[in-house]
Amino acid sequence: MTVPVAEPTAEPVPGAPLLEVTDLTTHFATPGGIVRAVDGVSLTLERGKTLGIVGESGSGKTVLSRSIMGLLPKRGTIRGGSVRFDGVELMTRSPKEMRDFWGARMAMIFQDPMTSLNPVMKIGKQITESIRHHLDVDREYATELAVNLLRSVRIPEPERRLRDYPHQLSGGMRQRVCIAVALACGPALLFADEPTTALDVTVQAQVLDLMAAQQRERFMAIVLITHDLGVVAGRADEIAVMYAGRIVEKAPTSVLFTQTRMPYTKALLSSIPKLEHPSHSRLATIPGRPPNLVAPPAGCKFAPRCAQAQPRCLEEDPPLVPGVVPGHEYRCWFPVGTPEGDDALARNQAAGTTAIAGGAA
Amino acid sequence: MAGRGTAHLRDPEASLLRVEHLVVEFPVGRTGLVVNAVSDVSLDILEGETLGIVGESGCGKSTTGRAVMQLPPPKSGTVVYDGMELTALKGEALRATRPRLQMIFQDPISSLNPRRTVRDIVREGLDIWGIGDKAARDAKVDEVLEAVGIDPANAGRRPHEFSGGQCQRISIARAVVTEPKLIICDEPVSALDVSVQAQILNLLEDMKARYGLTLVFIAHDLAVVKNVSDRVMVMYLGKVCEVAAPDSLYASPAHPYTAALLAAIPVPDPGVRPDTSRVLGGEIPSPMAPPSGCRFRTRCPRAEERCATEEPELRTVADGQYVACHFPLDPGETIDFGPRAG
Repeated sequence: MTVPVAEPTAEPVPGAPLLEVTDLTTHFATPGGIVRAVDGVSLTLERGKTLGIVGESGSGKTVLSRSIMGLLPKRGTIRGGSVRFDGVELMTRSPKEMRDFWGARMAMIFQDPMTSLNPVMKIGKQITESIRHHLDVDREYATELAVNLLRSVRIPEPERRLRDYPHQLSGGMRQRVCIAVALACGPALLFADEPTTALDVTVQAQVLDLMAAQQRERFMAIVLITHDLGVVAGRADEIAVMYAGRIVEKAPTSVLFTQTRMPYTKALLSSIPKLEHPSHSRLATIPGRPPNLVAPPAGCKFAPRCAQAQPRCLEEDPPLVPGVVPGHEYRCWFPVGTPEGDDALARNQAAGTTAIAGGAA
Repeated sequence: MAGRGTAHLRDPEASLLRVEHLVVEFPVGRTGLVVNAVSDVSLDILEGETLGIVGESGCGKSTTGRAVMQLPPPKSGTVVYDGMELTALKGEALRATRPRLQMIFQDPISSLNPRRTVRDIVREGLDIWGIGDKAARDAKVDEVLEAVGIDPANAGRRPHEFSGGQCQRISIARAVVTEPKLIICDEPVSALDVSVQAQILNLLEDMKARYGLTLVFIAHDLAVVKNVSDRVMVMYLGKVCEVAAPDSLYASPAHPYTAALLAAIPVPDPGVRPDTSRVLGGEIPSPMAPPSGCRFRTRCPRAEERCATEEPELRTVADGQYVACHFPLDPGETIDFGPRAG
C-alpha cells in the first residue's frame, strides 16, 4: 500500500542536505545564571543516513534535538544560530508554523514509551490523530493506515491492538507503537532520543533492527541519541560525541572507533564492560564530573578530567579542527594517537598527575 | 529453559546462602489466577562469591532477590542464610537478620528519602540497632562515606544535591554501614550512564574486598554481570536456564536463551554489523499461563515435541556449567533464530 506523505510546506532547495545546523546555541536563563546547554553546534545530515549523537547525562544531546525541532518552551530559552531543514530556515518559525513540520516532516521517539503515549487514549486514536491532522484522508482510510503501520512495526494482531490502551502493552510493544506514531505521516527525519534505554537488551536489538528496516524502506534520516557507544557502533553512518554542550569529536563511524583523537571519546569507549574481557577486569573510568554549564571552566571543558591535559588545555579553548579523513573533526590540543598526545600522556604519567593536580575526584 | 533441579548446588556447609525450590506466586485480583513469578528456583552462594542473576524483565530475577530477603516471603521453598532458615522466621526474629542482609536498588534517587540528610540516611541502620555511641556512629558514617567516594563534609546535604552516580554511592554506603555479609544488588547500574556505571562497578568490587562482602548482582545486561560475577545464573520466566562461571558462559553458552542474550548485546565495534538472524524474536509469554514443559520452547528454534511435555532438569554439561535444556548447544555451536517472528 502506498503511504501518502505530507506535502512539503515550502519549496525544497535542490541539492541542499536534509538537515543543516549551523552554530546552534541554546541557553536557559535560570536563577543560578545562564545555562549553556548547547553551545555552538554545527552538523549536517543527508537523506537516508543515520547520525549518532553520544554523550553523558547533561552533555546537551537531548536539548540539541529538542532545539533543532523547536520543541523547547519559549520562556527562559535563548536560541541562536541557524537550523535549515530541506533548505528551509526553522529558527524564525513560530510554534504554530512548526506544526506543519512536527509529525509530518520530522518526528521524535522518546526514551520512556509509557510516559510519551497518552495513557487514556486508545492506541489507534494516537496513531490516526496525526494522520488525520496532516493528511487529507477519511477516518476509514486513516484506520487502515494505522493497521498497516502497526503491522510494519511487527505488532501481532494489529486490528485488535488499535482498541488497546498503552498499559495493556509491554515496554517493547509500547516503543513499537511510538515508532508507528512517529512514522505515521512518513517523516523525512526521525529523532530517536535514547529509544532503547528503558528496554531489555533483547528488545533493544529488536527495536533497533526495526528502525533500521523502516529507514531503508522509507529513505528516512535518523538522529540516534544515546549514551551507549555500543548502540550506535553498528547502526550510525556518522557519530558526534558531545561534551558540555559542544561537539568534541565527529567522524564517520569506523573512523571514530579506529582513529579516535579526542581523549573523552577514548575514555567513553574504554568504560564499556566488554564481553571478551575476563570477569573481574577493572573498568577504566572517567574521574570527576561534567562541568557546571553556568560557569564552565576556561580552556578545554574536558581538561579537568582528562588524563593527558597540559597547562595549555586549562587556558586555551581548542577549536574544532579537521582530521586526516574527510568529515573527521575534533577539539583537542594533544590528540590521542598523535606524537603530541602520546607525549602529553607520558609526561602526565611520569609526573603521576594531570595539569589539574587533584582534579580527579 | 524452564528448568528446575539442584544439580548445580554445592556443599551446604560451605555456602553462605542456600535457596532450594523457591516458589513465589502473586494472586491476580479476584480472578483466581496467579502470576508464576518464580517457579522452583534453587541457588547457592559461597562466602566471598558474587552470584550474577541475569534475564529479561519478567524473568523473576528481582523477585528471587526479594524472596531471599522475605519481601514478601516465598510461597514455598527454603532460604538458609548463614545457618538460619529465614522462611521460618517471623516478626522480631526476621527483623534481627536485616543488618546482616542488605539490599541496593535500581533507582538511586527514589530509593533515598529526599527529606533527610545523607548523614541521617546512612546512619539510620546504626541508630536503629543502637550500634556504638553517637560519636562512634558518626565516625563509622564518615568512614563508609569516604570509602564510597563521598566527601563526609557534604554529608549534611540532601539526596537531590547529588548526581545519580553519587546517590548510588550513598545507597552503597547505607548498605555496608551495618557490616552485612550479603548484599543483594538489584539492577544497581541500570539507571546510570556508561561512564558512571564503570565507576560503580569498580566501587562494588572495592567494597567487596574491603568489607569481605558476598554479593548477589541482579541485572539484565550480561556484559555487566560477566564483569563482576564469579558465577552467573541465567533466568527465564521464573526458571533457571543455565548456571556457569562467567567466562565459560561467554565462551560456550549451552542454553539457546543464553546464546540469544549474548547476541543481543551491542558491540562497540563498527566492524561488527548487528546480525539480525541471531536476535531473539517474539515476547516473553504471560507468567499467568506459562508454556508447559520447557518455558522457553515457544521462542526456541530447537524446540521439539519433548520440550512441550517434559520439563528439563539442570544437568552438568561441562565442569562447573549446568544447563536445563533437552538440546543444549555444543561448544562453538551457534544458533539461528531465523526470520524474526512476532
